[in-house]
Amino acid sequence: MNAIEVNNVSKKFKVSGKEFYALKNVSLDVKQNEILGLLGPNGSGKTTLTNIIIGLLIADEGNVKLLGKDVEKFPDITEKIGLVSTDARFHWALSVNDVFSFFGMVYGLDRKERKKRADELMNFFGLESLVNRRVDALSTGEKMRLSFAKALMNNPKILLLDEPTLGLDPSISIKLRKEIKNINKEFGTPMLLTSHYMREVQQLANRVAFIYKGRIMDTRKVKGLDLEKYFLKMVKTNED
Amino acid sequence: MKINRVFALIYYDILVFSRAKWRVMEMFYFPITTVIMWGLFSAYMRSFAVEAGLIVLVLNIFWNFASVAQSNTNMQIMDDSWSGSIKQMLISGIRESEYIFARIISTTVISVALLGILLSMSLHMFDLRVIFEKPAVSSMLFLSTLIASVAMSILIAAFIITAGKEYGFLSWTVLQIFILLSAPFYPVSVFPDWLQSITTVMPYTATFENARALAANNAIDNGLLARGLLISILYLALSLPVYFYAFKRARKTGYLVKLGS
Repeated sequence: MNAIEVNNVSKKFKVSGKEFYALKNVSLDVKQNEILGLLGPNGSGKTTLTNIIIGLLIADEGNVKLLGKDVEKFPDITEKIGLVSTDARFHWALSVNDVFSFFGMVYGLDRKERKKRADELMNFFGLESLVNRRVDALSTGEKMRLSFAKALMNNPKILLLDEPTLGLDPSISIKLRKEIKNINKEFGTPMLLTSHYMREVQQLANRVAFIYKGRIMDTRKVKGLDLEKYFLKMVKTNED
Repeated sequence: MKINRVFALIYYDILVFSRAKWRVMEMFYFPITTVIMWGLFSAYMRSFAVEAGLIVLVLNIFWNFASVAQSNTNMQIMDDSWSGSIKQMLISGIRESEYIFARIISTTVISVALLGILLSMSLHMFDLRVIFEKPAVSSMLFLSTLIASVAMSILIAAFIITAGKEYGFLSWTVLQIFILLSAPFYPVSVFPDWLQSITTVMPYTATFENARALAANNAIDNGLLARGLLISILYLALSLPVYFYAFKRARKTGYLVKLGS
């Protein structure tokens, strides 16, 4: 059973009365234990695909299965996903501690577990000194660390990483990449990673899929691949 | 529906309410000052026409209670949308039923607390006894108002989810037209004939009519009381499938993503 299975997914949107395909017959899978990098220029359909996988958007055609379950038919399956995203936002008036308390309750952790998990995550992401700080007083990097910590609160069975190190200090980015690798190695957590940092994808992903204008153009193993050259070649080939 | 997620959302509302002081002001300040103003007016009016002053005061209490019982839920949804937290909630497994159910519970608590303040204030400051003389009837009238407002909040939420968050302003504006057509301070007969058939199916018409009769003559029409409750329940029964359809549609059109971004 694959962790993520995207089968012939198409999605159309209407802009100014004109329809266009944001995704067209997209199929891909993320196997257990692997990290799949998703590469593509801006507007290629990465975010639309992510939104369909997490159940915020319904595909016009095709389906998405998470751990063998259709997202549309079994929406509770999204509880097992962790999403780290650049646009992850929390209510500005809440403190870091409030965020952990709330999501801990959502995930059904009791008070003791919530505290333990929150302490572990705050310690790892260097958020201990910010425990009572309000979200609107956090820097971009601190918000990203909070987003990452929240995504791990439920010990997710699948992680979706959307530009996970964007806006972070180099030292934290390095630490985070190490941790992503660790989580994947230790727990076998499968991950779908979208990133503009080729080095990051090269360092973390086992395979890479190239998406362009809503279509998956190619999927291959990362080992032995010069990703920067590959990306430029793919863009050029598809533009031609 | 998972109860831990409903409790989590209620806990979230308590956190936001305690951290964002403007929410407390918004929900309590305006209704309290309005009722004081009309309470003073009713005290002044006693030297001219006792009933007129009482009607204005009693109906103002109903109006403010109805408004808060509707607007708080919709404001919470807009707050979640503007802050972007709605996306985090939905991707954490919170279902649309849990989301609205929790908001209705917290709104009910807030609006009942507000009602308690308004009534006790009116009793002590303006000697408003008429509501307390028939507690069962008054409770039924407030219950009808609450159910109608809950239904309105669900319908407005459904509209905002379907049409987009730029329609968020409806959260605190749209109820006004329903109140106007529900004839709060005047009988339905003031409207032209063609409009009267519409006003009779408005969510608060029967309840307001009874509240006026209670304030003016300490009288109550049991048939009207039942009709008010029935209309409120019908609105509620209609609002729920509309809300679930709106959510499904928003997932298809992409408006749900926009609501959280």
